[in-house]
Amino acid sequence: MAIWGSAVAIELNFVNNSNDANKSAVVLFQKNLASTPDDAPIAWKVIADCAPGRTHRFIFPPAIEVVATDEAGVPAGPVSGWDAQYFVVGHNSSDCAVALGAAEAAPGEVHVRNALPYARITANVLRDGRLLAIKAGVQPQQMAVFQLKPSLWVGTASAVSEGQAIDPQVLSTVKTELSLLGLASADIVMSGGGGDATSTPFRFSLQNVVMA
Amino acid sequence: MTRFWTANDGRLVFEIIFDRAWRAGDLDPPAVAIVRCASSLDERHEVAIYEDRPSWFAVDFSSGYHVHGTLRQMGDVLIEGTPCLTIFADIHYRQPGHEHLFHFDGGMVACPSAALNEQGTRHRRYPGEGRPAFADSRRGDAKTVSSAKNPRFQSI
Repeated sequence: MAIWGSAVAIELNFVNNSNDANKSAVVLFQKNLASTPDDAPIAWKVIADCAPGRTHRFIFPPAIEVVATDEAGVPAGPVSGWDAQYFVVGHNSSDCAVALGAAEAAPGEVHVRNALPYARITANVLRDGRLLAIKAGVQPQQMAVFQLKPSLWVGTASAVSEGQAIDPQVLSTVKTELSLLGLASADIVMSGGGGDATSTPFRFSLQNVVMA
Repeated sequence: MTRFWTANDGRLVFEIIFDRAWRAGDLDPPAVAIVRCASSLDERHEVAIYEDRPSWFAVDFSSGYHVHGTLRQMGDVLIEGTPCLTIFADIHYRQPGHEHLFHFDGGMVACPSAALNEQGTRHRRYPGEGRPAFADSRRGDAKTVSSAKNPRFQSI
């Protein structure tokens, strides 16, 4: 039996215990381990205007949604499912549609097969209604593979928007991976920072962890 | 019962052996982590993992990889509704040629408790039977129990 993710939504509470005077935005994202170097991670959640001493609650649901868009940008879906599921994009009468496939993907993987005869698609994976990962240019009869570890990368960033690819320069500053394996709830605590000579790099850690 | 956790596109590998206890014939020894990196495959650093306290370790590979931090074992964590023995880590690692450290915090790998219990009932265990001479003491300080190039671990 493979163990990968959580069966229930994980309640997360971002706590800003830093000395940051600049109100830096915090970006959270998952990395697609099956991606190519050209596939930049997507900013799944951006927490802006969370000043020191304040908190921000959000959830990490176990379900994901898949939306396919054709070359004209016309969307099909969303269809909800779980990690370890297999989605098929094909024709439903005259329209492009997304459906759950009969097979299962490997644990932690989402497969999106383009069953259209001619058109390329872009496969979009969303979590909690926000874009999590994307694979463009999926050729007919080819499959987009998303391999998502149960973890969130977290760091500070400027000029980053939810649903947008993270700039390589910003990505290089994100150093912390927080595991969600087995969690029911936890605080993500940000510390460090400061604008004077005593400032330290921002640090992120899990605290007040409650296991499922 | 072995699980793998990797970082840096698979270049840093933690191989967690949950059932070393049964293989070694020890009474109640911990899980073991074998830490290695892809560019120095002949270097293997072993860390005993306990439930009652975190095991601190620090490893420098000849390739330039560095990793330090703690590993801890927790029993019966529910994952997908299944009670699991879970290894938690709070580690920092650095790639060769880089100054900055990456940080990983939280559950690293898990194994269903039932699978381990089932395996345990299939084994009749006697104190010391099959216990290797280099076995770690459970009540000793957390430490790296074996370092690089130990051929006795090749068959695990």
